[in-house]
Amino acid sequence: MGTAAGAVPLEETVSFSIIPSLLFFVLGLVYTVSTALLPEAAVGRPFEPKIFPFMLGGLMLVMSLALMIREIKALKGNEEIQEHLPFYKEAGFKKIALTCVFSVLYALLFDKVGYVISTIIFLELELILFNGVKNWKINTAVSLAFSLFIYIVFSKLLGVYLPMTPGIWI
Amino acid sequence: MFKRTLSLLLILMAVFTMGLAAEGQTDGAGGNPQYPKGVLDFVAPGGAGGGWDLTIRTTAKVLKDTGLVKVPMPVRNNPGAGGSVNLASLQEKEGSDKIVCVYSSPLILTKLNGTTDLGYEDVTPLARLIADYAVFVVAAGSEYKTMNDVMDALKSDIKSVKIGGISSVGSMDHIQFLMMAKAAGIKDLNQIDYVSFDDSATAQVLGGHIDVYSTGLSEVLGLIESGDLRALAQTADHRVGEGVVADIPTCVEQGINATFVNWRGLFGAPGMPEYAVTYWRETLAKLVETPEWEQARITNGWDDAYQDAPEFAEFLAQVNQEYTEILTDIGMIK
Amino acid sequence: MDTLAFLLDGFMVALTPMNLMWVSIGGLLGTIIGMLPGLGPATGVAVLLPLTFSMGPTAALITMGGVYYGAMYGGSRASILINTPGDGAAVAATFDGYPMTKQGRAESALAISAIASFIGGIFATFCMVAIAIPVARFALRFGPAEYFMLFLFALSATASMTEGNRLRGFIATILGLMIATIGIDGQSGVSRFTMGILELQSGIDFLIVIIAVYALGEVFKSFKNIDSGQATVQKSFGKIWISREEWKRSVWPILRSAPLGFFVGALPGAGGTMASLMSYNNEKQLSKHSEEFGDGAIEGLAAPESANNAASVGAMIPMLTLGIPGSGTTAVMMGALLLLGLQPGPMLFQQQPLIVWGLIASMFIGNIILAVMNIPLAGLLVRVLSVPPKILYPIVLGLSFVGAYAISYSVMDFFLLIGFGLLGYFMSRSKFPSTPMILAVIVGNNMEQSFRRAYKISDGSLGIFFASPICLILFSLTVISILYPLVKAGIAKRKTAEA
Repeated sequence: MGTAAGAVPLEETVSFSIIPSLLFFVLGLVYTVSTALLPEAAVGRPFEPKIFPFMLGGLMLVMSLALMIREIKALKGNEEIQEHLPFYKEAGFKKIALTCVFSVLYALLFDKVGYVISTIIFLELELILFNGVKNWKINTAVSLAFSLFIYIVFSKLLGVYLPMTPGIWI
Repeated sequence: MFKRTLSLLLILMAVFTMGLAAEGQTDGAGGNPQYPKGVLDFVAPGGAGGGWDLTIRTTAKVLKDTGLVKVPMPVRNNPGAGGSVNLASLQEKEGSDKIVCVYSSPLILTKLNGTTDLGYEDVTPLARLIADYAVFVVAAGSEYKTMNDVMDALKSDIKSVKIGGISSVGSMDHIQFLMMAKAAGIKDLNQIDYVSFDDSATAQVLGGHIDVYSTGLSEVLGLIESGDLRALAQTADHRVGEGVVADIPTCVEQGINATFVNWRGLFGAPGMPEYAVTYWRETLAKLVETPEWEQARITNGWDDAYQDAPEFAEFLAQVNQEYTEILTDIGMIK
Repeated sequence: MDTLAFLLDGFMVALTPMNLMWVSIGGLLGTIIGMLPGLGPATGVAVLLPLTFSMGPTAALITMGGVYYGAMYGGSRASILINTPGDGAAVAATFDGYPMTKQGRAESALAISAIASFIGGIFATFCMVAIAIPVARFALRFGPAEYFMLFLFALSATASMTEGNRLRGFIATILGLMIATIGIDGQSGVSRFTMGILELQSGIDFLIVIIAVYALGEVFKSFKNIDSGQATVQKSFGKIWISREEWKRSVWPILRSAPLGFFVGALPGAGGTMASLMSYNNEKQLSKHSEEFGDGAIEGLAAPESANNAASVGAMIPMLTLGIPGSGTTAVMMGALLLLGLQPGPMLFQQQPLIVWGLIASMFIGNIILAVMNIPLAGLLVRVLSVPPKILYPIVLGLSFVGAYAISYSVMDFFLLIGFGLLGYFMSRSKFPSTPMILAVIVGNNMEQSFRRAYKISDGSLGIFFASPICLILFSLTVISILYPLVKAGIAKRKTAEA
């Protein structure tokens, strides 16, 4: 069984190997507690809707604990721990966080200003992240073309509703 | 290179969907200065192809074909939580004169069973249009020949008959059976085993996994005609349909004094302006008189159930009362 | 012989120029719809609903059939090229299809996908002609207990597939099952873990989770490569075809998966997603190259592609023979039948033989047309890879969001998309396999509900799960699927020890 942990590159053995199992343990705990708080069923056996979630919660607790123990053991076998970057300093982390922020903004704008405009804004922002500000001409062309293309295909040709943009009625 | 692919795709799409586009592009600028103006917003609170979707699409189509409404009526789906998601979004559009949506029994049930706090008081009823009825079917080889056979079996052992239906406990298929069981004098309604299925339980009753399938008449028409399923009773107050369907006895005929109507009607957003309500009441009254509408009803197997807004509102209050009683009996409302 | 005469009549109907045109248009439209994330065959057929008002029933059904198979062909395109499955049935195509693309073998991947789809579709259509009625009757023997065992088998096979990482595989599975418990519990009406959010009452659509974990997860991962300049563009493209060697490796998996897919498809409620995942598991266990699975093994793409097309044909069986919608798509098609004034059910074959047999004949023709159409189309599509990732990934993001919106028409799903995208990224960073989680999300609710249904029907006796031969067979398969990898590993270990 030690092979699995041993296969993980050394730089990842510390925080990143214990934290996930810890998180899953906490999740199992939260899930189990909220299962206990579920209302009882009025029809049939009152406890029925809770059985399966309890099983899941319990299994999650046991398994994440097992994983945690295994990771700690693997850690002890490896006294020399190298310094490594915390995950928030890794390449790409900032951009992932920004993408999330942009997505939230997108969601907030979506119904208000319609599909085309909100998508142009969102894509423009994402393209700046990926492609850089200096390529703004390409960025704008892509985001315009994409938004209009999708809007026409979905909304006009396929009849799949997308929030209408005021002023655009093709 | 990529752009070429894109434009190629676009051209292909354009060429092959001309027909579709033409459908949506019949212009409605018809020069009517009053209401309705611009583009209306027809909403099905469920997914494409479902009962609500078919109803509102058919309505929009007949309204357009008969020339009763001349502005575009694109249909939008807003599914989720048995129509409650749409109900919530309607509240944000309070006072809108553009939205017309379809609802049926779940409008009342979702509030009673606790899915949402919103109910029929939070929308503006325009008219009741059509009705479908519940039917209780068993496999051809089943020992149950009449509705009373089922009820007697339940009375002697409440667990002996397994009732199946689509959607969860406390929603329509469950309630419609309970209303009959209550009328037949069964006491422990909440002890009756109702097995909920996701899509269709037809295969389950055919395969003998459940004893009785509580569903809508149009759902199992084909299998009743072919004799694979036997209909024990339907829940209208009169015989409906023709042929085999007309042979299905009502519950009332079998001494179970209860009816259940799965009505479908049209609603506007809360606080819909007076002029819009008046317009739709008049238009829908004309709609149900047209031969095109009658044809559409027959094709879909819908019974005529037209009611103007005021009577419809009374009807809703009365139905609400009936459902509340049943759900209180089984303890889902405390 | 009657059947043959009817089929011949059917071909007469399907081969009229108008109907040939309809099946081609439907096929092309379906292929394009299938490629867009979030839009699968069900939406494609629904889009046609308004159009069917003005078509004859035969033409309408044939066009819808074309859209259905077209979407099955098209669905895997996006999986292979940009790791963004369009619908559940196309998930399995990402497992090995996308790694093949990354290795510069997109041409082979697209070709085998079309070929496998074609063989699966044609095989299943033959089965349909020959044994539709008995299969439909047999499928009726699947009650809640049998379904539970089927889902259990699929789940345990996938979970135990993650070699060397079993514990993580199991944790991912449990996580998926937890996600599946969100929403109203059908058997009691109690709403669970919805946190008061209305949109969660009807549960989390597994498509959202799929798009999030695969497409968004891929975009998140790409940031690192782009920053470090590792992202590359494919500049030269070969012919869309496969080598003799690749064909040799794929042919048996394709032929084995077709009947499996056909049968699973014919079970109401199981569908193409289950079929493709089961065939993938199956091939992984049988293959001599099982260590290559997930890393660009061509048979890992061929098998599920064959199975999901076979399943789409199989799903027509309950609809045509019994009037039971076997899947989301056939449910919409049944709605269309009603609109056309046809009553789906056992009488359909007798009352409208020309329409039904015309549809069946058009399945043969449609599959041929689609295969022919898809090879050159793939030649065009593959050039998507020449788009620099810096531009392609934002477009993938845009497609993911519009796809999510098209599933439920709710902005709420944007937040779910971000959340699950992050979860997917986090899991792959910390070496948790996402496939078992996805499968658990897909079958979880059905599995629990099937268990509860059976439990209710048997008045709380567990005997029902071992009462029928089908249950026993599925249970043995489950046990084998768990033990087999262990035994295999044990043998391998002994071999290395001896050597």
